[in-house]
This record gives sequence, C-alpha cells and structure tokens, in this order.
Amino acid sequence: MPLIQVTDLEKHFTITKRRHGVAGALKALIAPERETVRALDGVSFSVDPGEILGYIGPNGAGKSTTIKVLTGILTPTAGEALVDGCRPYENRQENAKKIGFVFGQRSRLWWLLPAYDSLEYTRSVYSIPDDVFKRNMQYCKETLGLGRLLDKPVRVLSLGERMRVEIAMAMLHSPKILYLDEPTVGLDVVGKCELRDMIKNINRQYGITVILATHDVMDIEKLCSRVIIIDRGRLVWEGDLGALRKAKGNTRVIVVDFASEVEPLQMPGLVPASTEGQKHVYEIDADTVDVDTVLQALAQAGQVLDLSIAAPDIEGVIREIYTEGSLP
Amino acid sequence: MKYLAATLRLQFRTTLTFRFDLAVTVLRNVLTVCCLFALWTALFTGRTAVAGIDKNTMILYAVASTILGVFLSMRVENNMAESIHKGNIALMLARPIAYPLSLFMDAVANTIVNAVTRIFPYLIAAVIGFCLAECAGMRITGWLVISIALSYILMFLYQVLFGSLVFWTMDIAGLIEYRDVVMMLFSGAIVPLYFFPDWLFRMAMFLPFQAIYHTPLSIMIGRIDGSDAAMAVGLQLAWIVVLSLIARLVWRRAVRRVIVHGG
Repeated sequence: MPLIQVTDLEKHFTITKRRHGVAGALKALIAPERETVRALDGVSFSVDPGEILGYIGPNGAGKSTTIKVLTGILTPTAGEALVDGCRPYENRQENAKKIGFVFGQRSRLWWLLPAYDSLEYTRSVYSIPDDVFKRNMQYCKETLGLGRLLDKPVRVLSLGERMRVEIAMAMLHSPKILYLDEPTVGLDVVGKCELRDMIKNINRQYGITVILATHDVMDIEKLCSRVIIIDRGRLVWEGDLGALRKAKGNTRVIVVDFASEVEPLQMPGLVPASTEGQKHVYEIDADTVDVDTVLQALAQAGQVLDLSIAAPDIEGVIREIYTEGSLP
Repeated sequence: MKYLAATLRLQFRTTLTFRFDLAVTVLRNVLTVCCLFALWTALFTGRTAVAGIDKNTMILYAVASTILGVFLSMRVENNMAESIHKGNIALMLARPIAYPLSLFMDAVANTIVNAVTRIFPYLIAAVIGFCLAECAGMRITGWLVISIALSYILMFLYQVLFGSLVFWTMDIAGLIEYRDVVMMLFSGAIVPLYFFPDWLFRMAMFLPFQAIYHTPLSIMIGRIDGSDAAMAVGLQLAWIVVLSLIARLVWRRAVRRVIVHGG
C-alpha cells in the first residue's frame, strides 16, 4: 500500500504576459494577453513508506507545484493526489499534521528572535505533546547540531545553520512524510554534505518518508533510493539510481595517458572521444565490449603512464534526458 | 489558546527588540493627544455646542476615537497581501491551523501588544495631561464593553473580506487606502456622524461602517443608552452575521485561486 499515490495530476495556471518597457507595461494594463501554462500535465507516481524519493527536474519543471499539491497548498486542475489515504487539498489541516516541509527558498523562522523561539512557536502551531517535543528536541540537538544555535537570533545565523533549524522545525511533530523542496540551495560544499547526512539520519532513525525535490544531482546520488524526473510538467523517467546510470546504455569512459604520442586505437565498440597527443579518451559499451580486451590493446599500443575507467556521471545522463525530453 | 499565547509571546519580543521605535511611538502618542486637544479647543472657540456636543465631550470623543483606532489597527489586510506577495501564503496553508483562524489569533495578539505598548501610554497621556475634566463625561457601561468587542470582530471581518481581494487583484495597497478613507469618514472616526447634514447622516447609518466607531463612541459619550444602545448593539451583531457569511463564501473561492510561483 503506497503512502502517496498521484494519478494523472494536472495543474494549469493562467498568467498574464508582460512585455518590456513602459509601453509594454501600459499595454498589458489595458489589454492583457493571457496564456495558460500547464505546470503539471498528467503526472502519475507512487511513493512507499520509508523511501527517500528524489524528485528532480530543471527549473520550472513542476517540482515545486507537485509538492504544493501534496502539501495541500494548491488544488489540482485535474487528477488526484492521495497522501496517506486522503486528498491533501481537501483536508488541509488533517494532512498538515502528518507532514513536515522545508521550502528552501522560504523561511518560516522568526527573523529577529532566537532560533529556539521559532521551535517553541511550532510546538504550539502543531499542538505537540510535551514528551514528543522533548524527545525530538533532544534528537535535533544531537543529530542536527542545534545546541549552540538555539540562543542566537535567526538573523545572525548562516544559511546552513538556518536550514538546520528549518529541518528541525519540520520534524518536531514527528511527521510521517517530510517534503524538502531544494533544501541545499545556496549552501556550500560542507553545508550540503552535513545536511545530506542529517536527512539520511532522519530517514533511517525515524523511518520518515522523504520526498526530496532538487536539481542538485549530488543530493540524489547521496540520498535517494529512487528517482523521478519530470520536465515541462510531464514525468520523463522513473526508477532506481542504478537503472538511471544504465539508462543510456552501460557505457564506460576510459582515460589513458601514454608516455609518448600514440596513434588512435581502432577497435570495434571503442569510440574515440578525444585522441590528441599523449592523452586519449575513449567511450565503450561495457555490455558489448570486453573491458579486459580493450585494456590489453591499450597496453600494447604504447607505454601507459596512467589509466582510469569511469562510469558516466549521473549529471550527464540527466542532461541527456532533459535535452531529449524522454528516453527511447 | 496555546497558539495565541505563543504568538503573543513572540510578537511582544519582536516589538521589544526595537526599543528606540517603542520610545518614539510613546512620544508620538502623547503628541497626538496634545494636537487633538488643541485642534478641538480652537474649533470650539466662540461656540458652546455643535449638534448637541460640547467641547469637552468632543475632545473625549476624539481621544477615544484615536485610542479605539489603535485598538482596531490589526493589519490583517496587509498581512494577507504580504503573504501573497512574498508567497508565504504557501507556508500558512500547509499548517494544521485554519488560515483565517490564525489571522484572527495574530490580530488579537497584535492588539494586546499594541495595548501595552501604545494604548496605555495614550490613556495615561490623556488622563493625566488633559482631560481629567472631559473624562468625567464618560459613560462606561456593559453595552460599551460589548459594543467595543463587536467592533473588533466587525473590523476583522471587513479586513478579511477586503484582504481576500488580493487573491484576485494581487495588489491592494491602493484599495486599502481608499477603504480606509471611506471607512474613517462613514464610521465617525474622524468627525462624529452627528455633525453630518441630515441626508448624509442617514446614508451613513445604512452603511455597515457606522457600527465600528459610531456605535461604541456614541454609547461612551452618553448619546445613546438603554434600549437605543441595545438596538445599536443588535445592529452590530446583525452586520457580523451578514459579513461573516460573505467572508466565508469569499474565502472559499479565494483559497482555490492560490498561485505560488517560483519555488
């Protein structure tokens, strides 16, 4: 029984076209030109309890819109979303008790007051029982490293610190599902890394299902068991991470450094990507060509100084999926 | 109730963060009372009474109206508009508290904070500084207390109704000013409705605005009492019922229109 079931979800917005310049603004004022944008155009998927689902897509793909339907903020134009058995946009408050959310671009913290006050406020908003509050606060202090942040006014916290408080705020009421909409946006490398560890920990320790909308591929690689890719309001790919890697065939990239200049190697199944001078880059399809044979051929071609074999990076695969719109 | 207490606590602390602003506000309130006193004293020079209201009563009316104005300044429309503009409406709708209810709670908390930081200074300035004599004319009755409470609810309903327009127009800053002028004029906040020409007075009595300022202030200066006061309070109640029905309808439609762009 899936925890979240989304069926043929559609959300259309009517927007007024704006033109450049003052004349354009005036024209839009008098005779506005409207157009309908299909932010979601028939999306279906399901999420099982305990999963960390990566929900990815380029800017404007419809990630946030989906999350806003699932959190009950937006009412879909057509289709249905079921979260734990009820429609979030019809049972907003009931749904709100079961979910936690962090919108990376919007803060819920009280800007001028110490971070602890915002958490205390959340306790009253969600009517969190004392024992649950204490237990979760203890957990957040330990795992999210909140201890020394709590007494500082939010305005002096760094972005990374603020995001930690936001996540703590989202899980104080022990939600079943945690929606994270670009939680690592704008963080530095260390900050992103720490945040990912925290999300993983929350998922493991509490068994909270996490829906992670992002366009940071590293988030996906480090965290997600399953990935859904949407683009222009349509679902273009769904599966686990391994399958995504293999989505474009089981290719490997071989980079060789020769001691001297060597003629490009000619072999069936071996595609030379760049073979200038001493450094050669080849792509091979590991399903049809034996890697071992290729390595032997390379060793015979000249003296090999350095050699590396890499699986294609996920980012490349996703880029291809974006540009092609869908997979064959 | 817990929510109200928490909101109140945080709003207090936010207000107290700006001590300078607080000090300036107190000073401004004292000055406002001075100005009202000077203005109406000047206007009443050479007259004993206008439309049955003498100078002392008028000063009492003006000061009370100002204090009532602070009490009723709940900024609900601005809150709603800001939530829509910044997109924070998303965060509001995804909470386990109904948005209109949380708006009301926030307004009440805001009023209590205002009461301590602004109304008390007003009252002290008013009582100590000038109108010891004028205050003698004040009639504090049960009807007054009830009608002020009803004024508060009415004001909240107006603001929710008006604020809901932002779901359609996306911007209401200009409309709020317009609403404010019409309401201040026809509610008797600036000038008692008794000063109006007869036809305008009757028109004002048909509009819903008079129930906000005119009713409690008239009860306070003793212009209406007894069964008249009961009637006026009854009319306030009727307006509350009508407006809350409309607000409910409008709100339901508004919330379906929520659009949140860009993240």
